[in-house]
Amino acid sequence: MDKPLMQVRNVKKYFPVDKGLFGKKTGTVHAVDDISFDVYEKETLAIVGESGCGKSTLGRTLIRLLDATEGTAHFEGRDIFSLSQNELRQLRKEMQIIFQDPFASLNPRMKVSDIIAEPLITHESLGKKEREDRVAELMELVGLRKAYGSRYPHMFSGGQRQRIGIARALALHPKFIVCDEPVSALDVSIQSQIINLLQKLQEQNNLTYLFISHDLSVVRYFSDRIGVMFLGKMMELGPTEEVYRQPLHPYTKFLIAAAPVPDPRSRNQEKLILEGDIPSPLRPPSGCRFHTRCPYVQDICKSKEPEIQQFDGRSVACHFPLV
Amino acid sequence: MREDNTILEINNLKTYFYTDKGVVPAVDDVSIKVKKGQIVGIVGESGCGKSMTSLSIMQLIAPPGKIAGGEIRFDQKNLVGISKQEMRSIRGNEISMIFQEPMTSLNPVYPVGKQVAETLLLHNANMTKAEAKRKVIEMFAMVGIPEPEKRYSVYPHQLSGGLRQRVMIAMALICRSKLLIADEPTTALDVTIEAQILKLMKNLQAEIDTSIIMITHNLGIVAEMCDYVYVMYAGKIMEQADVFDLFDNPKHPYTEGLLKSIPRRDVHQNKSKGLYSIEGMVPNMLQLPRGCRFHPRCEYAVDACREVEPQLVDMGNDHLVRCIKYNQ
Amino acid sequence: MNLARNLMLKKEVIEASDELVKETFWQDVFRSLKKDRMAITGGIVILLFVLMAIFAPWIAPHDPYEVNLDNQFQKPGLEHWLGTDMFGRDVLSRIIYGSQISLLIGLVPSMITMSIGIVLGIVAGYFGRRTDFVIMTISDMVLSFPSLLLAMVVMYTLGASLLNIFIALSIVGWAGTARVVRAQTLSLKNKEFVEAARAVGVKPYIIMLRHILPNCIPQLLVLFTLEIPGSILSEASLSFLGVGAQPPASSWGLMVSNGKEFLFNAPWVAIAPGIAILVIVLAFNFLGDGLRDALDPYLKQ
Repeated sequence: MDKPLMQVRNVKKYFPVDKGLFGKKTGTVHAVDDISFDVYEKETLAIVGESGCGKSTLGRTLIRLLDATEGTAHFEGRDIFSLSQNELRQLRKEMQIIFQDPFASLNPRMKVSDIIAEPLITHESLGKKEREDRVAELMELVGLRKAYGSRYPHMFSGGQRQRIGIARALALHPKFIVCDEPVSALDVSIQSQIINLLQKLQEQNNLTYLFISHDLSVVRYFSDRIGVMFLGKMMELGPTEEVYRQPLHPYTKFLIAAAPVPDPRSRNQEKLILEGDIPSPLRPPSGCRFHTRCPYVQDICKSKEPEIQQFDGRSVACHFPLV
Repeated sequence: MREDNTILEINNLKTYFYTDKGVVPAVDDVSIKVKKGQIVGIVGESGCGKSMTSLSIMQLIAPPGKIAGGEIRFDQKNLVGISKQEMRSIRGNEISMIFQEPMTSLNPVYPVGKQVAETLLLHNANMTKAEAKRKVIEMFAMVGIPEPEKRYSVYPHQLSGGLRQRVMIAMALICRSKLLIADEPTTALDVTIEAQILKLMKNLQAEIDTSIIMITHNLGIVAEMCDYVYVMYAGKIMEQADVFDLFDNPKHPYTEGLLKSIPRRDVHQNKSKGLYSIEGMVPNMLQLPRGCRFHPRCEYAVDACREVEPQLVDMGNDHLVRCIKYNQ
Repeated sequence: MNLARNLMLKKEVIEASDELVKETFWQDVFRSLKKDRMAITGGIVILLFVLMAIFAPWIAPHDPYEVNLDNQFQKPGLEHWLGTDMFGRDVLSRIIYGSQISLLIGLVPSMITMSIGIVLGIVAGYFGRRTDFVIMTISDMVLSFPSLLLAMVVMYTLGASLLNIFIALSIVGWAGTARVVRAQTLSLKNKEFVEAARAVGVKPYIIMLRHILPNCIPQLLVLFTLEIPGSILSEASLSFLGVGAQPPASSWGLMVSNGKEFLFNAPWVAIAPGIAILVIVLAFNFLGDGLRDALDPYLKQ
């Protein structure tokens, strides 16, 4: 493996919930709860999990769109969480984000060329001509005709809008991109176009992706390593192929098995199905957070939170890993 | 094929939208047949007309939309042009529907149990309220809602997405509908919950012998659930076949492309080759391409595809394809 | 091979996407507005009203300030279409000239209140926390005070003059705008395009100007068209109560006030300017409602 580009240590992000009278704090959501991992250069690290598991919060915290409650994240040796606003603004060039909803991620009152030019205007003092050239170049790179620059976002389809968002994210030649469900709002036939585009851009520009997704099929194809989150905790982390071939955490096993397979012949196999609902992140279960749904639950799981165990290059937070 | 076995027969349905920018042929000459106890899939991407087909069956097309032609035979009765009153007695009773977002079809200010009981009372004039409540609680238990007595008097927002969808299924099945239309019933749900709901639908279908029309964009769900599949594109049916036949032997370039382009969770795919992808995008329904609607994206397109609209051709074994390759 | 093929962009396919909606925001709004008869009527009346104010010296048949006591209380007729008042001044001419004051009163305070409200609303919504608390507390205080009473207090303290009417109406009016803008900012601030701008490192004030303000325009437009008749009515009330425009200015409110004593023997003196107020306020309200309908999809986004 290459060297780590980002080292995330014990990151916590808590949200106070104040719904009570007079804005009284009535609870805390432990959206990201003590998570540590490394992101290696040029890899795609997928973070998967169901709604409320904190994967999007994690992605936004790592590029400081949200401020972490605790922990550190070193990016090329500097702790992102302790940078001043000015230092942070410089670092923004290195880290970007691509969003899920191509309809909410573009300002409806701005022309496409202005949207793509915004990072350039913010960080680089280019002449008008130079800037236009860069925008045209970026549009071509993501597969948009440059004549589209003078149009507004509502004139485009979802796939095209996603390309615009990708062009904006690439404008400053970042090293690290958080892809927050970049294809899940797109049609099936458009998904593969965008996945191929992301792959091409990664190869050409040596990008590192943190690929947040709930789609286990896309993740298996696209990612090098995978981290599985459940209610703010990292349950399992390891190389994608190994995790899919032999999941160590029961949650991983059932999560992968839940996704339907486009092959009618697989329907005859007895399907592994998790019972019960996802617990509320406001009141996570004691001990192992997964114990209320886990088919292999033992007494210790209900009271004691499992330590993270290492198995050559893989880690799992379970009292009884499936080895 | 024996006719008496057919519960729903749609013939040459045309649902058009007359907007001020032009006519949108959302459903264009679509014929679908659903047999008793069958799960029929309608699969396609956004705007292909799959949802409009289901709303047409329910007679829920609102202006500027209109059913411009064709017939929908349900239990030998043509639903097109039927009186509103008659339709109301069929809707929710003999045909039910569940939607992607259960929250929008539940009234937020009434307890969920009461809402389901109301459906039951509406269609059964001589049932008492206590009897209805008992039946609803029974149904809640059947669709796997934990603590059904307690959940009876709970409001929709107090339930999780999965439980809400279970309530919707209970509401749909409580009148023992002959046909259930499920429009993307699990798209808004998490995968582990989706698996639960799909299993539930399959079990219930086997138990009470309802026919189901499954509308989805997810080929995985089609493979797992359906017996017979229609593939729609830009308002037209491009291919229809038995589910095994369709996945083993897709004949239309669009179907073939879709199947090739989806990543799979159960197989390792070599990334160096890239994913197969259908280029371009879905056409604007106001300016459909001439000839075959798929030709601008089709890698096999020949000159004739730009001129001639192909017809559905029967390839035998109930497998029909709309492609010029098979038109001679 | 496949990847290379896939990433090659087929020109034909890209071309095929040229068809998507090409309408801009304003074209779309204008197209739906055109279908609304009430709004069109309102718009025409407002246009006539503006023209009347601009060209008052040319269209007024008489001098509005010329006192002719021999000519007192002439009934509406050929010479004086709307009659004359207690000083023998031509009522129609005074109404025509009065439209200048009404227009000024309608526009200036509305623009001032909108500007103040926009700035405070965006700042409160975007920064939140203490800033929000302070601004919103002040605005609540302003809103909880009877606005006409507040304006009257201001007018009494500062003295009656046109400038002071502007000040009084602005002090009263900004709070409502600030509330609307704040609410809109709160919902926009969490939109992904604002997050994207923050991720790029765009400075907060530029985010407010470039990303938040332009997306408030539909709300502001509706608010503005409904604010104008509000100001006109407030001025009329103030003048009626004697703390607004001062004689010999021909403000409509003042005219109603002066005419009220002669309501029984010379009703036209008070009723004619009253109808003028009614018509213009209705016109603005029709246009505002029409705009709200036309902008509906944008307001709901």
